[in-house]
Amino acid sequence: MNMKMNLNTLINKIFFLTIIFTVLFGSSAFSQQNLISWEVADPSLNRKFIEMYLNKLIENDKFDQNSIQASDVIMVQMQQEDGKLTLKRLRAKNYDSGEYRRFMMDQVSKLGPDIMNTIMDRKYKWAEINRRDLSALESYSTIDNILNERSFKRARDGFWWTTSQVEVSTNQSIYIRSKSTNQAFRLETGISDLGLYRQFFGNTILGLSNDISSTYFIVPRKLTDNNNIKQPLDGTFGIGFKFDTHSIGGQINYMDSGNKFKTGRVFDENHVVLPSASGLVYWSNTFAINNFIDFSNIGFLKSLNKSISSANKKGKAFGSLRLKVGLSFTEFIHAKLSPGSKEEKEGRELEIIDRLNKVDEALGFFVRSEIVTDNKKLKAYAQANQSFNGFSNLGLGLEYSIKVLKIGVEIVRIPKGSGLEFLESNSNEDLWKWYPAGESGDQIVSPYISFHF
Amino acid sequence: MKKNSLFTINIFIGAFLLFSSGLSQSVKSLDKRKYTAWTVDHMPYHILVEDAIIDYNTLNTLDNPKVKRSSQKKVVTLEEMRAEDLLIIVQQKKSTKIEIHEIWYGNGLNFNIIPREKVDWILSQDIQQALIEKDQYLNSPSDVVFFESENQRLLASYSSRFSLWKQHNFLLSTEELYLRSNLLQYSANFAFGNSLVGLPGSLFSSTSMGIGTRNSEIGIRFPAKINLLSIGDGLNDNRLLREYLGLYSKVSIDNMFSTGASFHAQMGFSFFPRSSTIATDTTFFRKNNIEEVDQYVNIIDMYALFATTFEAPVKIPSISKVTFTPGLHYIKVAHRTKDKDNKLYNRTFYDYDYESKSYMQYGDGEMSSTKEFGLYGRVDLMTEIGVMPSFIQKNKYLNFININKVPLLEVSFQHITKLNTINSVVFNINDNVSFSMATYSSEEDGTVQGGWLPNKNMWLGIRYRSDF
Repeated sequence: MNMKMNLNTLINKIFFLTIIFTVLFGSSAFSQQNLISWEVADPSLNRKFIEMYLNKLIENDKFDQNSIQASDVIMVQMQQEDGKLTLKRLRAKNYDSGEYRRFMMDQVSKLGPDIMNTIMDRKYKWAEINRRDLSALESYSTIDNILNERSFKRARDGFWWTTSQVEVSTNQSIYIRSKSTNQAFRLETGISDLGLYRQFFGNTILGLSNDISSTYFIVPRKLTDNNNIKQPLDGTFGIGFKFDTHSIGGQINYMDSGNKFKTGRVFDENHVVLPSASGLVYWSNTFAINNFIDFSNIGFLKSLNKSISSANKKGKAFGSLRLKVGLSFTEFIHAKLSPGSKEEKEGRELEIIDRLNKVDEALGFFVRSEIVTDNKKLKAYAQANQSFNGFSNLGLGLEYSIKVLKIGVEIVRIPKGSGLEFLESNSNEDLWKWYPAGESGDQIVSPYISFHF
Repeated sequence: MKKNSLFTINIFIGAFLLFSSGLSQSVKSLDKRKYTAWTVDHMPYHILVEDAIIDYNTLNTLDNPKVKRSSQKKVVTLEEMRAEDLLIIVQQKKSTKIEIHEIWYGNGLNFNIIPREKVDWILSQDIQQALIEKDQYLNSPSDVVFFESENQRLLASYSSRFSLWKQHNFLLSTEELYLRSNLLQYSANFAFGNSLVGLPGSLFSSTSMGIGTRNSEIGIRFPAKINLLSIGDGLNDNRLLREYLGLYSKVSIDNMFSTGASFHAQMGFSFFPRSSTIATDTTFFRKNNIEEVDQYVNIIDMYALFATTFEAPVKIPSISKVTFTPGLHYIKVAHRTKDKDNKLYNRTFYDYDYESKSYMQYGDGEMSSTKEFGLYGRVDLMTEIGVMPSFIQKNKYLNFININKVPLLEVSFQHITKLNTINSVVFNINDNVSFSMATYSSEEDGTVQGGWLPNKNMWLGIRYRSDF
């Protein structure tokens, strides 16, 4: 299997544990043999050292045993042992051939203390060495280079807001992001993390965001007619907050069921279903994924975009996969509009019939995976929401970017029997069932295009 | 209410007159027009720099027995970077070179600076490249490197009342318990009231427990009553029903659109069961055998606050900072009656008027809840940090007062229209311990019809904060 995941959590934990171990126990064993390795990135020092070395070989008539070239780069490994620091290994790396060459250490020791101190004190430009370099230094590491870790931000930005400065989409979202202040205006529809997708939930979110948190107003809207949806969720005015960090995130939303509802704005005035209060907390982690599909070979995409990035070459890490797992809590209200004037301007209050807000009625699970490629051209997600009360759904999305245009599709699947049971009225104990897509379930496919700058 | 306010104002004026202006030491600062600076909030990168500093010190302090050093120069090592230190990257604006200009790390007043020429020695080119690409990891803008005096730095690091990320990683007070992890960049918060939304102590009708980040907090509201050091017998909080769980969240956005103002928002709500029959008069109580304590119960259905804090451009002797926080406040209270089976009934009245011989009702008589948008106003003042008036310094009985990193006094005035006014004074006796007093007075009529909040009350408080 070509897909290989970089286990960031494990690496982080190893780092944390290493630090804690060092701090708590003084780490006598650890300090006895500690290696510090690097590559000299100062070209003039590289050249100066190798020239001195080559001159020394000529001086001692050993040049014919030499394989090191003046263009090689020096790799240094120091060993810290019992309070002393020693030069453990010195290698020359040839970037053209990829070979590692050994210095003759008896000749190196004759170069004099000045140049050796300069090399060992590391007061010059230097670079990290990779796993392969380490093996040339006869050292092995179980810890990946932390720079190869996926910063969750790339994966997150694609879904948290936008990676561009302005993005307008026919999926009823607009983002205007100021990169200098890391703040953005957002307009979205639906509360998708809670499984309340825009395809069956009549609301719009207008908010202000920064990198981590977002605060927004919820404004009701009328859903466009959709044959797949038999009874949509109604919306009303409210507010919400959400936040997202590299390992935890969440949101809470409140819509005021005490608001007045205009007759034409609810789907059925005798059966208004409203997710009046909701919350979600999730854990997340981001992994690197290797290219298991060579996108440059897909003819359709090739014709759409001739300049497929080199980041899509097979075998290289090409994207980030973010997984989120969490718990949601959603209070659903079943109500009817109070008797009164049907004048649209007036609005009528809700007579609440039932509230589903006990733990076994409102609690649910949330799982979501998000993929964003490093070149930000492709993003995709899959999400499942399942609540104890019987309401569940699946969401899938795929989006591809071609210059300033993005084309995408969202698929929402509401399975058979997915819905909620409410008391039918305040006067009897009969039940009324809400099935957003009918009892047999259905799926909605929503293509869209976006423009981003 | 007026007496309490005057008392608080008198204390403030007294302190104001007694104070003398302090001197503030200048510190190294950079020109804001020429540089840009940000803190590294991505912990793996923080750890990389911590390790790089350790390696640098190791390479420059340990003896190398195989090499004879040409001179015995004293080697300058760097302070080790701690997990809780701020790591600030400084970059020159409009420079043709994409490189780190300086690295600052530390906290409060104490910052270590790695200058440009040493950055290349300490950090590999790869780490520098990663740190400079700030749109690839979590970071936040920082003004620390631009402050010109110690006072400015201390003031900036001194937590605002609205801060979700406190200055210290441990805080215990009569209002809250705050614990912060130095490694994981999260905090745990327990609050026993919420003065900022006008509901201190048990008036909050719950105890909240949540997890926080630098800009956000989310958690659960538990129906637990904790009311510490409440003075006065008029709290009258038995009209607030505390039986249902809820959720809450807080969000802050600092330096909104580079204006220097910070935006704060918070809300919370309760999940309470449905209620059907409407109680419109006291005959309902008799018919349904409702106990007296359950006749007029109220539930805080929802509260919300949206406010913006900005530093007022006023200079007052002995006062280091004046902040104004205007905003909008919203509260919705459900009025209910509860029977012996814990079943709830909507209640549309709150009292009987013997003069007019009619029931006093909410709104037009059909409402069983009150919801109110109020204007929110708050003014916070603090005296100069680390400065004590001469009479305290000279009085040997007051020598237990010793402040360095905190102001002696913090005063606040908060008013929410149609709800209440809360004024408070905090005395810091040292950098860790403070005592406070908060006075509370309800707005007559307004949102609190039916007396679900007391007319007045007072809370004393103790706060301990420290770093572990």
